[in-house]
Amino acid sequence: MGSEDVWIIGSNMTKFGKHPEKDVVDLASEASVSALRDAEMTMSDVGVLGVGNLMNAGAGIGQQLQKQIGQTGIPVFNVSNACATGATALRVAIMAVKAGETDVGMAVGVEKLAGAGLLGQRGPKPKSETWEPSGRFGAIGSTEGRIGTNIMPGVFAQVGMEYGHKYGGASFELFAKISEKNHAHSTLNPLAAYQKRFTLDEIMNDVMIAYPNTRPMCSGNCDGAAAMIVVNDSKLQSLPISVRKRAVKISASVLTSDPWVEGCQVLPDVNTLTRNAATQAYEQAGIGPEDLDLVELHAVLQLLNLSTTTI
Amino acid sequence: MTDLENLESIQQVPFVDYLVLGEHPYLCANECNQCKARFFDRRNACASCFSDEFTKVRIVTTGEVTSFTIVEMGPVPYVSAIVDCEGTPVRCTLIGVDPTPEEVQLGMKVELTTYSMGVDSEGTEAIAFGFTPSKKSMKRSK
Repeated sequence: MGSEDVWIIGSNMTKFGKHPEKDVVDLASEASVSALRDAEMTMSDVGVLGVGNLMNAGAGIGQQLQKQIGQTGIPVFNVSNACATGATALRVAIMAVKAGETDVGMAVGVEKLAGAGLLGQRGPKPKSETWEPSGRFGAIGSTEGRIGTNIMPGVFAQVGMEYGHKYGGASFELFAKISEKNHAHSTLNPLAAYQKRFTLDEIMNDVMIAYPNTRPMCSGNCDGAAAMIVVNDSKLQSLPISVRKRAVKISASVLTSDPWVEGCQVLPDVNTLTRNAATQAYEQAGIGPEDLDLVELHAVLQLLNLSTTTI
Repeated sequence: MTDLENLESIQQVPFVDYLVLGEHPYLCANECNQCKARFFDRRNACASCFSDEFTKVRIVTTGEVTSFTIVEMGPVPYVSAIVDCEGTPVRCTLIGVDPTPEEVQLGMKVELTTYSMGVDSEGTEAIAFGFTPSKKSMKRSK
């Protein structure tokens, strides 16, 4: 017999955008307290806390959060996993509940990125009088611009272009159309950082960041937080009907990493790990793609939308 | 000192340790003895088959652009590309080509080239590499 199902009984997210007056702990607290209220619980009910934050990965944001909203002595896991950081915090809470270590888990993802600039770019190395090789490539200077690019819009532009080269038909215009569709969706979400509709022309003629990625085709750096409360079956049964009737079952939760394929250390292969995750999720849930009416897909840049929806 | 002697006294270092300098510069990969997977960085073990024995192999100096982007955020735009060198993908900057989508094409034939990055306080010259449109393919297209 398998372990019990896990249910989401509370969730909340802050508005994404610029929050200069709030720090990471303020944003995490806001989402956490509201998610607890949504679940009709307090910190005294929570048995495990998973907190995702990338930019302050060594700062123990989970413990800092507890010190503001409730120190109950429960285990705290601080996680960092690039774009999947918040989702990994949720994965940690789910695993702890599934493993039977606790009945109630809380997951929080929080980031302050407004003004962070282009991610992935390494700063200039300290000036040395002589050429000094360093790092795994024995480079004597920053590789940015010398050996291609490390900046995220550039790396993922290449992922999209490689897809176009391999399968054909993926033009600048097609990539821009994906952005047009996504910006149209944002107008329906009051918590989205940007809620402005863009025409295809506006997108294609905006500032070029890394061809074919123009500015509106890239994820804007912003601030925000989200939190979720998860419980197992037994706990759910003990909760008031007001909570039970809104509970959402997690039919599958899967985390993968990129298995080795030729060239994956030269340009990341984002397709195999996504396909593997989807396959495992369908298996866990016992359904197939034909059973789904809606797919919400996160991708940091528009080009990934195409390469990951068609795999 | 004659010009020739002066030339010979200049010490050169490659920009990265997988660039091998000489009369005919080339890139050099660590190839796994067991599964033949190739890597450009210093290795602890093979990411594909976990073996820890490698042999240095020479990468052919010509290839085909399988992906590129033109980074326009810096003071000077540059072309980052992935070049397939007979089955070994290489990351590089394309040089000697206008950084525009009209000039850079997927599938274009390119070849390895090197250039000087200047000399340090001890007179050592650093040499970097890039790929540039192949002379043969340019002649053919004309």
